[in-house]
Order: sequence, then C-alpha cells, then structure tokens
Amino acid sequence: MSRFLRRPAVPIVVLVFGFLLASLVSSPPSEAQEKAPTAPDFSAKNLKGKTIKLSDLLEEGPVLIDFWTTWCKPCKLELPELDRLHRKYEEHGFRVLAISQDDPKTVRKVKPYVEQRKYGMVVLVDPDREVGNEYSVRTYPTSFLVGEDGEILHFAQGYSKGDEKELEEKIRGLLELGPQTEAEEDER
Amino acid sequence: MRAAAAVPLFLFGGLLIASDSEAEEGRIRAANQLEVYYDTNLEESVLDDRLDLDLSWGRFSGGIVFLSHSPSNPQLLDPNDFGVRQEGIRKRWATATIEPITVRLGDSYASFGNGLVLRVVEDQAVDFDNVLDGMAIEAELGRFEIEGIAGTNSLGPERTVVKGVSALFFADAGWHVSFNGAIVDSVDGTTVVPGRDQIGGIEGGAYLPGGFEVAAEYAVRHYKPEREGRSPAPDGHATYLQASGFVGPVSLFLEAKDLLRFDHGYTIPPTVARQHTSTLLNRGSHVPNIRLEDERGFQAEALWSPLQDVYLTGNYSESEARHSNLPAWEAFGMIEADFAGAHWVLLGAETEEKVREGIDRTFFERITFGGDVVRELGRGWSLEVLYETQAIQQQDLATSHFEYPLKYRDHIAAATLSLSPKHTWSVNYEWTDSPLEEKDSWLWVEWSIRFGVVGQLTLAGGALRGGQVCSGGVCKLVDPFEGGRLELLTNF
Repeated sequence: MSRFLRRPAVPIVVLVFGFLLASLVSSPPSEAQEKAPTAPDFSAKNLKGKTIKLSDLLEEGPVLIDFWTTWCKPCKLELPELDRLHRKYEEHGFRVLAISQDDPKTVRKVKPYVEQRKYGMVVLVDPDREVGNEYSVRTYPTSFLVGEDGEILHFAQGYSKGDEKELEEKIRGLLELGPQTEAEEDER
Repeated sequence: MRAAAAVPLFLFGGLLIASDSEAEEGRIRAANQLEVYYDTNLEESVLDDRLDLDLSWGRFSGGIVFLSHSPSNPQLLDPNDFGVRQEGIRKRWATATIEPITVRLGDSYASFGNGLVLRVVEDQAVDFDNVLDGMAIEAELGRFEIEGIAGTNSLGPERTVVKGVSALFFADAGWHVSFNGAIVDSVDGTTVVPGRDQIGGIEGGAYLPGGFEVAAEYAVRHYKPEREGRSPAPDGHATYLQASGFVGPVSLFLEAKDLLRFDHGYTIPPTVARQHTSTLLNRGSHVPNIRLEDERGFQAEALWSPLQDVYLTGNYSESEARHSNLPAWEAFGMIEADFAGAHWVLLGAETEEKVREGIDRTFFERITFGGDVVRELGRGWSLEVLYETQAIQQQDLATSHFEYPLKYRDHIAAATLSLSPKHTWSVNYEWTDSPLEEKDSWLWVEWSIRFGVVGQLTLAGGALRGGQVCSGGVCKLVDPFEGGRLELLTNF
C-alpha cells in the first residue's frame, strides 16, 4: 500500500472535496442563489498618471475588472473582446477596468501596447500587484464582474474563445438590456 | 500542522459562505487555494492550502494569509527545513485611513521608483515574497506623495531590518520627480550587519508633446564599513533610462540600464530584457543571469500594425559586464494576425549568452521558432494548437579546445480544447534529444472546470519537465514532477 493510502487524513480531505465538487456539478446554484462575495475597493493609476477608484466607477454602473500582463498569451486574445464590450456598453454605464500586472520591468510596455491597439477601455497599472494581491490573483488573465452594489457576480481564471459571450449575457442582464438580437450577435 | 489542518480551514470557509458576510459597512472577502499533489516516483502526497481573508470596516481594514502545508512524508517533502515560515498565519496586517494618510501595521509592501532603491513585493506566480513585518505610511498631500516603510523580513532565514522613505512630486505639466532612500541590513555569510547598505536615489518622468514618455532613475549604494582600519568599499550605482512613443505608425520602446556594485537585498531593477509568452524562450532567458554587481545594456522594441488586426513586433536587447567577458544578446520577431477565422502567432528568436559557471564560462546559443493558432469551432467550442522548437548549442569555454560543443533540440507541442465557459482540456507534450536529461519526453494533461463565482477546479496528471519559470523578471526553478495534481480555487 502506498504512503498516500496509509495516511487517512489526505484521502479523507480529498473525498470531502470530491463530494463538495460533485454537489456543485450535479446541481450548480444559480447566480441569484450564490452568496456573492464583495469586491474590495481600490484605486490605481491610469496610463496618464490619474488615480481611478473602483467605487467611483461603480456609481455609474457595473465594472469588469480584468488582470492581465503584456507577456500573457490568453490575455492578448481576451483584451480585444473586452474592449469591444466596453465600447458597446459604455453608454449604459458599464466599464472595463483592464489592470496591468506588469511590474516595473515590463510596465513601460503597457502604454505602447495599448495605444498601438487603440483600446478605449480603462487601463490601469499595478506594478506592485497591490490590487492583484487584494484579489488573490495568481494567474493571468483573471477577471471579476462587479455589480453596482460591489458584489462579484462573475469570476474567471484564464480565457477561452467564446467566454465573452457568457460575459456579455451577464452584462446585458445587469444593464437590463434583455437578450441580444440576431443582428447584434452578427455585429461581433 | 499537517493534513488535518485543511479541514478546519474549509469548515471556516463553509461558515463564511453560509453566514452573512456583509453586515452594515463591514465586508469580508476570502479566497482559498487548495492544491493536492501525488508524486508517483516518491509515492508521496502533499496537501497545500492558502486562505486569504480580508476584512474592511469603514476606514479600517485588515487581513491574514493562512497557510497549511501537509506532506505525507515531512522528511522528504517539507520545505520548513529552510526555516521559512510556511504554515499557520503567514501574514497579517491592519490598515487605517484618515484622509490623506494611510497607516498599515504588520506585513507591508512598498516600491520606490523603478525598484532600484527599494522594492518590497509579492508575486504569487513564482512564489516570490520579500514582505516586511513592520509599518508603512502613505500620505497624499496635494501634489506630494510621501511613503515610508520600516520592518524586518519575516519570511527569510536571516532577520534583517529595512527602512525606507520616498517623496514624490507631481506637476501639472505632466512630469514628476521623486527622491528615495533606504537603509538595509546586509547578510555577510550568516552574520547580519545592521544598516550596511545605504541607498539613495532620484527618479523622474515626463509626458512629452507628441505622445512621448520618458523616465529616468539614478541611485547610489553606499556600503558602510564595519571594521576599523578597513578601507571603505567604493560606492555602487544604478541607472535606468526609458523612452516610448510613436514615430509615424510605429510604436517605439527604448530602455537602458547600468548597474555596478548594486547587489543589495531589496533591489529588483528593471531587467531591460524581453519577457516572452513563449515557454522555451522564457526558459532560456538571460534574466536569472543578470549581475547586479556589474551589468549594463539596452533594449529596443518596435510595434507596428501595417494592416487591421495584423501586428508586427521586433525586439533587440543586449547586455555586457564591465569587468568580465559575459555578453548576452537576443533578437526577436513576432507576427500576430487574425486570418481565416483564426488568431495566428508566429515567432522567431536568436539568443547568445556567456554565463559564468564553475571556474569558467559556458557559451549558449539558442534559436527558437514557434507558432500558435486559436480558432472558434462554434457552439462554444474552440481549439488552440501550439508548437515551439529551440535548437541549443552550449560549450564549456574552459574545455573548448578539446571538447566539441553540445547540440540538442527541445520541442513543445500543445493542444487546448475549450467548451466555453466551463471546461478546458489541454494536452502538453514536450520532447528533447538532450543528453543532459534523464527522460526524453514529458506528457501532461489537464482538465479545468469553472464554477461561476464560486471558483475553479483543475485536475491534471502526467509528467512535467520543470525548469526555469519567470514572471515579471523574477525567476524560479521548478522541479520535474510526475504524478497527479488537483487544484481548487474558491471565492467566498
């Protein structure tokens, strides 16, 4: 018998979690049923050195916080989609806060990168990862959709093509815009 | 605390979910990361858990980081042998904000300028954390920002004291200047020498007309001699320069560094070397070989979009030492394009470097090519296929007269299938003809499932080659691993 099996505490804990996970998979709670965690408030500087505060933006509408870096491949795939969502729903008060986690070694590349791609979303820099650590960000990209009341309504680590569709549905739900028309979907 | 410690942790997490986590102005937020590894070679398992718990109440906030490390065989797998606090409440802090002043007690962080004088930071991607246990103060007084920190390193094996202060002034015209200073204990063998490194510097930056941005920093490290009669060591210095902007349609980025006798415990200066998305390029990076005692170099990067959704990136970086023959350079090119309904990335790079190893140096040449394509397949499905190959030539310069260079090639092929928004399956296959490796191939499979706001589960297994992993210029060596891994992230 392996040592793994000789130590009962480890497999017991794994089993407990297996049970927890199985329950999650078999009957996933709806977003409304879940007790939504709260987004910590923070302030960080944008690319022009101006301080932007999350709670100020939340007064205008929901915010998608996305943690990314210039050297993260899926982030580069995700950012154009987030920028599209920002531009599409900006007039309804929705904002995308793309928070660069590039540290002083690479943070200087953020501005040229963003300007070359002409992104319109709010790009912040967090070279000391103070905001990232407050949100326990371990990999990139990691995103949180935050409602006007500060509750985290969506959490995603990593990005796969198509993730933005579910995100857009949630944003439309928050903005009470109803489902997308076929013409709007074709615009993508 | 061993395996069973994780149980109360999760019971606590469950209580948090069940309870009302927001009462009046007070807020509680928690994130938990559980990892279970089973190593098939050692036939041992490890259960690691990290709970981040943050509380805020009006002007006050606080938090703890609770760690549990539970190896099935502590003698084989217990990193606590190094004396680093890995279990229990690893960090705790409390802050109070009375505008415009914020005071933080307990584990604190600070970073001055570009990180030449002082950088106290945590990077969870590479488990880097040089946190100080003490006190930090920040004040914003109109156009001035004052920041101070004082504390001891609570995670390192030797207790050292660090004190630093920074004063920053922002001007309406779009420029800023800051004056930074720090006094850092240094470790001489196992002896801590109080206040031996005294570092001071000036840093500034400006937005110029035409979209240009410039930044510069200069710092001096004064080494305080401890013994009478000993001649004082010469001062060290560090310089960092950076400029970026558009020249026509091309975005340019330039930076330079000059470091001499600047190796102190709390400096993390800009590397002035490119950080890549490519695994093989990052693994062979010059970054871990940067010599704070003697290194100067530059980096230039151009980014151009000749067509819509087509981006070209070119980069060249070079560095050398004043007092030894240790040059390094890298030329890199990349095309990113949306074409035929897919996103394509093609890259190529050549790197040459001499690294001091043993009594002499080793020469490395690496030529890397890679490609990556991501395509949506419809109904929420998407597929990513990646291939990278790197030809490596290395030669021990001490024996170069009678030994031919060693040549080998590494390859990585990976495929990731995703069913948005919940599932991701990936297969990563790596192989090499290097005679330095015990194995010649590694296969790793992974399945990741998202549970909405609650969290994410990843199940993985196979063999990982390990090697150097870099994030933000900080690198760590990851051991090869064979077995299974479960990771569960939860937000409460």
